[in-house]
Amino acid sequence: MRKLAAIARTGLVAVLLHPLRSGATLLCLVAVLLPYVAATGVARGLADAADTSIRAGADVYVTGLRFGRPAPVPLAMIETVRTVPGVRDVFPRIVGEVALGADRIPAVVVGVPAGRVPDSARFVEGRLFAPDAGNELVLGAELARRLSTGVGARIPPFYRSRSGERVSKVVGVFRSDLPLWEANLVFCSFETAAHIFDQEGLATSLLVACEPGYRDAVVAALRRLPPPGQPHGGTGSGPPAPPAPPGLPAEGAGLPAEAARGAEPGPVTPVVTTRDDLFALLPRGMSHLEGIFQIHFVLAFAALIPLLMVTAGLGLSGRRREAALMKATGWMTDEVLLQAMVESLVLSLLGASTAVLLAWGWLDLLDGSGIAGIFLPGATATPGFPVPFRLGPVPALLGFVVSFAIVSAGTLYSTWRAATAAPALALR
Amino acid sequence: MTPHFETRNACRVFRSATGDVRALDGISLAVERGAFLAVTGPSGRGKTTLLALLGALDRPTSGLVLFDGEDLGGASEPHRSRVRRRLGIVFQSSPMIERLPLWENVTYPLVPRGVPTRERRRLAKALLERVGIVGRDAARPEELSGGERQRVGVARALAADPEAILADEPTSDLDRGTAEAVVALLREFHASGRTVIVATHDPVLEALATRTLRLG
Ligand SMILES: Nc1ncnc2c1ncn2[C@@H]1O[C@H](COP(=O)(O)OP(=O)(O)OP(=O)(O)O)[C@@H](O)[C@H]1O
Ligand SMILES: [Mg+2]
Repeated sequence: MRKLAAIARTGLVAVLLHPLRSGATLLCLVAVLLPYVAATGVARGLADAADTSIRAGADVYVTGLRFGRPAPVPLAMIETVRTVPGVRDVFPRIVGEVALGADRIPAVVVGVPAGRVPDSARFVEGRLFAPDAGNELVLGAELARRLSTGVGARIPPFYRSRSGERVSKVVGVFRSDLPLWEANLVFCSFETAAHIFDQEGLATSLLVACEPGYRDAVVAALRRLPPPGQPHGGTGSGPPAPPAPPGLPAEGAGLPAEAARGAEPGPVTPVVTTRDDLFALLPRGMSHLEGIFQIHFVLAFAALIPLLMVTAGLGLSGRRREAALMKATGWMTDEVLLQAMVESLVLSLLGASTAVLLAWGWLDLLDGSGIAGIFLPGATATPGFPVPFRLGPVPALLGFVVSFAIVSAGTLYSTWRAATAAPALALR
Repeated sequence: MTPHFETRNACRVFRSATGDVRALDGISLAVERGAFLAVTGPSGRGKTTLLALLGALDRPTSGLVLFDGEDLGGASEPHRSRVRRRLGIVFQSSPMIERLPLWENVTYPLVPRGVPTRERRRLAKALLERVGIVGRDAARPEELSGGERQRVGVARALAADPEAILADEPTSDLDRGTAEAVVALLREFHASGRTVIVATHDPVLEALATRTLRLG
């Protein structure tokens, strides 16, 4: 045991003994591991954030389909849903897109009845919108920054409505550490949102809360409901609409313009999506991207194997002499190999932890510039807002194991060759 | 009694592009335990080659090399390592691990024997003093003169308290005064009943020897 410790110590020293070799190997390792660790960190962070917001959301979402595409739901449905046994609460929500300011900055408008604001949305500078107060807006921090506006500012009309446009007032700004998708959010009362989109009597979804244990029964009952305005029912459960953006589940991307105006629209097919459906959908989307990234990573690492082999062989003639000298003075071959193994282990460990540290700096201090965009459509090369990330032990461990395998393969082979040759020849 | 070292018609041929070199051509030799053998002869006659065979650093092309009656040429690598562990070898070229301090170099053979670092440091200091290198335990080999390197090589050969020393021209780079320290060490080592084999041109060392083998 003492012998192993003594040999291990010389392996540790050997890292410093060959600075060129160690430095080059570390550089190669970090170059490959850093993007890998950072990217998996972002993917996991996003999945976590999505998970949290789904958990905080409703039990069941009712949305609509028309022509097989997302369509608004009539508010009349609220009363029908409320009568379903096991339903504790129903309220409507509007999610839509607008463009703000001279630069036409895209923003997502979310309107819910005052009093139905989720807890997660209560962290604001200023205050939340008041009921019946008309066009009071709470802005995402990033949006407020890009619009150079703040609490108390007024925003001239940015929409057209049959009931006449109004000046809007910024009453609050979300704190910047909120989830990512709230960065470009315009949060307002349901009535304000209905006014902005000129859609009276419609919502993009109904959020349903169920009594404990009743969820499956409620879902089954809701799926049996006849489409509104169509007394001879049909079963209306199409595929769940793709949830975008995450955190605002199961909505179409705003209101289709053609649905907004014109005469009597035909019936809408209700679509029932549960929280579990969302759980099933969201992480798959994330891990799909993560998967693509993993493939690129494997390719990059494969390309790096020869490079690492070369760096592992740097200073080879010196190493050969050292191994020969050790053998000549009584070291066994496996003891020489153990030393090389410890050296590789230390290098891989150093490489992996440096990569994790740099990845943390990249994601936390630099907001994942350059890498967040891979996972966040809409995030620019320099996001400028905190990107959610989680640096777990698994990618770091995986990176370490792969590095160790490659570094030690290169080192052990050359050391073994040197250690099994006749020492006299290398020591001349 | 079994000789400590023995060769029977040992040959070593080096193959190179310009043709084969017969470095050793059929040497037969028996060195008893406790003997002091001086191997002499002009340059290039195979002194270093013979010592390499006796020290299990190389294998004969033909013939036998025996240590304690056991064949070395055909022995497994672990067995040869165990034999080397019982020997102290002074190399002609004084190879060292260049970035390690002298004390590490001197006691590097003790690492796989699990000798604690503090003990190694203490031992290295004492050995270096014996060869006349005082207060430079932490110096690097590259800071040394040729003669100083040679003496560090002698100190390293003694570190593991071997049962025999094989020294390849251990005084070649030394003046009479400094050579005396090395000569004294070898004399003392021999006086304790252990075997010494030196390749040398040094008449003082030759005079110490109980036997002389002249090559070429
Ligand atoms: N690895 C090798 N490849 C080719 N030839 C070699 C090799 N090693 C030794 N020789 C040759 O073998 C012969 C004996 O060499 P060796 O080093 O044993 O001589 P030596 O008696 O020790 O000489 P010196 O007194 O100069 O040290 C020399 O001619 C040398 O050139
Ligand atoms: Mg020689």
